Amino acid sequence: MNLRITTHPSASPARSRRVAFTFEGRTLHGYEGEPVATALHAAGVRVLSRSFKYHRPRGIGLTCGTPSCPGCQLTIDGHYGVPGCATPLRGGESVRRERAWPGADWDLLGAIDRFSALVPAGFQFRLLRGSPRLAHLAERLMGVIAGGGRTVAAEVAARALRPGLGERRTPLAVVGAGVAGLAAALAAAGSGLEVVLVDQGEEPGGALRAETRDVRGPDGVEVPGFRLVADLAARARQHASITVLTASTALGWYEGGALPVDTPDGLLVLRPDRLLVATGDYDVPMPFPGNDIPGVMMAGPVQRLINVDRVRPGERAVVVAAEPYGYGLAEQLHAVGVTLAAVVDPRPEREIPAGAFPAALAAARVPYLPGHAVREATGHRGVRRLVVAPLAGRSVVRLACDTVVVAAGRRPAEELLLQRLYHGDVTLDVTRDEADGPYSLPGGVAVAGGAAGTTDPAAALAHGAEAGRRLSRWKPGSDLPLTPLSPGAAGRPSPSGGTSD
Amino acid sequence: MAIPGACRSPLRRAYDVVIVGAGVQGLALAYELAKLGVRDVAVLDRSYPGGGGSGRNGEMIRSAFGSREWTGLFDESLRRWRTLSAELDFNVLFSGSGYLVLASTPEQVERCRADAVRQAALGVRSQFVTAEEARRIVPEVNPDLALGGVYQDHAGFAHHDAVVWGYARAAARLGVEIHTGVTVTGVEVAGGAVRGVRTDRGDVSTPVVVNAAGGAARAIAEMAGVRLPTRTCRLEMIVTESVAPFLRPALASLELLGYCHQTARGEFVGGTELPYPDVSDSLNGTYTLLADMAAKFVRLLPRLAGVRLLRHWAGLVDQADDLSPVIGPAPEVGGFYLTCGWVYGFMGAPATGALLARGIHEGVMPELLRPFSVTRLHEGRLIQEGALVVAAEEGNAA
Ligand SMILES: Cc1cc2nc3c(=O)[nH]c(=O)nc-3n(C[C@H](O)[C@H](O)[C@H](O)COP(=O)(O)OP(=O)(O)OC[C@H]3O[C@@H](n4cnc5c(N)ncnc54)[C@H](O)[C@@H]3O)c2cc1C
Ligand code: FES
Repeated sequence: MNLRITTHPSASPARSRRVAFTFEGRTLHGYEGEPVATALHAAGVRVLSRSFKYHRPRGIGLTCGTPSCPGCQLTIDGHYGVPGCATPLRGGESVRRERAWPGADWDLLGAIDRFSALVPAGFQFRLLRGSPRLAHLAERLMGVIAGGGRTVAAEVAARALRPGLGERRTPLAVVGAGVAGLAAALAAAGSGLEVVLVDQGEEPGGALRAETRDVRGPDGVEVPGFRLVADLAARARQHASITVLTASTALGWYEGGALPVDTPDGLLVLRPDRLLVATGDYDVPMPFPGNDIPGVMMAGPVQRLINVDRVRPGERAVVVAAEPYGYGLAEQLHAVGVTLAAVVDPRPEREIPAGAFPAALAAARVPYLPGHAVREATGHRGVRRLVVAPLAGRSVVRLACDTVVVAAGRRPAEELLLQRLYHGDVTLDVTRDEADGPYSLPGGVAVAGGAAGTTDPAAALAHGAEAGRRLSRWKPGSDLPLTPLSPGAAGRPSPSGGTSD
Repeated sequence: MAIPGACRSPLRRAYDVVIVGAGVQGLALAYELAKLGVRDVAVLDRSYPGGGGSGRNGEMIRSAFGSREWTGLFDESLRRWRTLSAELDFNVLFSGSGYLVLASTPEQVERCRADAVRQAALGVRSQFVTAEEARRIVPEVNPDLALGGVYQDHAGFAHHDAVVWGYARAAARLGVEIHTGVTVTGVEVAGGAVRGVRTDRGDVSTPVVVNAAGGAARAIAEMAGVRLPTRTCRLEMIVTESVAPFLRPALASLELLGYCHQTARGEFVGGTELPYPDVSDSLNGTYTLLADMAAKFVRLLPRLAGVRLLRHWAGLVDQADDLSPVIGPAPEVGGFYLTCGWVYGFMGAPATGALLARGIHEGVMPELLRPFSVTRLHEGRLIQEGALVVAAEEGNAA
């Protein structure tokens, strides 16, 4: 099967240099600059790793974007645990999968999972509790399996030991160079503020890099999303007052205001007077048995795969659309030649807006199953079938497929804020009403875009710009004020609920 | 995962014993009280079992200390650790693979030598080790930091969550009610004795209240009008990704004020302190300590360079001036007991739970607990314990 998309309906730039690399002894090809995980996927490699404890097979697109996506951790040139989705292919590298013996496709340790009915969660606490000696032996054995022989390569150790880049005080740090962060940085810089703009991606642009549909830009003109962020990114790079740090991850935001950033040149500790959190959002997974089988993917990574990397997720997909953007994505999948086994909407039919199902899909006779809940996905090393059932009634529908795309909603990537403000009994009190614009936190801290719960790109753009202007008007005191928000000031429950204590 | 042992029925209006705090201290005590046949024991916690220091600690376990008071209590505890999984019918993943306190200066070497001699006199199994022996025990250690030490080959570490769950489950099986999400807001005292506690879920009457509130112990004591001369300090920990086994025993360094071990799954777990106590009740991890821990542990065990950190957190401890626990009845108020001031309260829990339960049940504190009474602090009779690895006063490590 060839998953490469040769004729893409949009004019987003394609990668063109074909390079070779080795994968567990085989020679494979991919395009320079695309993620290693994408190159493997395009070459038909579905199982990229095994889960830590039960050795369940893992493929790409599962919980991507979250800091802990386990889908694509690979060993590249002897360096273990390299995130395959965030590592561009250079050509010539040697790639291996991890945590499997003898190999990830046929992993004998996967037997642990086969017997999982006998070893329920927490089994290690039940096992061998009466015999300290046996427990001790078992523990050593477990260490050998679990640690997986992982040893840090000399080169990685040397990198870690490099002297850092030191500390840098900055009037404004913007974390996240998606549409909101870019707009904020440009607006603030336009008001005369020096800005450091940080993004973990290889390129600025965030989620809109994968958007081929039109978005209304700052001047009111509609342009494809990827072009909009590419333009903003080019302007930010050219702006004398903006430092753009890509492939750089803000590791945390600490008491006293330290914002350490892991850059390709070493650790840089920013001490911002003002901070804008524009870290975007995550796909929310949907709970059903088998939702971790390779081939079950989230909408965001699928959109990146088809529109940035120009690779189909599979040949025959079911799209589970619990949100409007799922329908849009179904249309895009259809347009790039993926056969749609069905579009399933798990909401009750009366809650689905009229006309949700795109006319183009109806015309192409794509089966549409509104009001159907997902029962389970089946398959072992790759999904084979999605079983769905009408919300009312006992029948089930088995949909043969090799890909399941889940669009179940989005969740703000608000960790940086929570780390500082979500303390003890104080809950983060976020007003997520888009009509209110970006909301400001005390002490020159703001959040905008997906991180503030905004899902509309045009609104994220406007709110980002507004946040940038507001922050540039804010006058810092001698130190960054760290007052936590008062609990429940606006009478709204915290989006995450509960307290951390 | 459901909270092991948590009670589903509503909070009752009366109990025989109310324990404030479902940390390892409160839960061990509840289990032991129930084992002695005490009925109607309730453990109240404003968060979840182990949400305090008990689920945030370094999991280190030893008994090789320097004073009669400490070695007595902690050696009893170590004995109980070695059979705790069978006792609780729950594998707490205790690993008796050794505990090495490293000396990095000639003065520290002498101190370790003296400690080992004292420990032998006190009947504690331990040995002084030379630089060469220390490096044989931990081949990966930076030789510059390993000039000698004290080694206890049967001490080690255990999984702190498993210990909390194990005690909670075992206590619940014996009828103890563990109520989570209940905040104690007051202690009712009349005629010089405890009558009950006030909570955000109503008042509860009881003749016995035990303060096992960890970092919040002073506040609970104040509610009863009991003086507890301690302060709340913050400690921090890191955990790395899983790597091939390279560190067998638990390891503490006097020089770095650090302690660490590697779990069965291969994660490296450790914490350090700056040379002064961090008096704070914040649960935020700090960048200062994160950087300190990373730098010190890479120095101690050079092969950690390049290993990724997975987690970093802070926890609170209640600390007395002599860094020793405060255990037993409060002199001011009848029926009010303390198990507070714990800096090493994880390793000390199995013995303290059992002995304090006996003391409460029989009305006489067992010999091993008596030195830890709160009156020592009021009378300025501080316990002289010199073999701790913890920040003491400004610029000097105890
Ligand atoms: C980072 C760190 C590392 C450590 N390393 C070690 C180590 O290696 N070895 C060792 O032995 N010890 C270690 N300790 C110390 C050890 O964790 C503590 O001494 C021990 O956990 C204390 O247990 P506890 O049950 O007394 O208190 P905690 O576990 O703190 O429990 C107290 C409980 O009381 C509850 N509570 C408080 N106020 C109220 C209220 N008003 N109403 C209801 N409930 C309330 C809290 O929610 C909490 O659950 C470490 C501590 C920390 C923080
Ligand atoms: S980030 Fe690579 S599979 Fe999710």
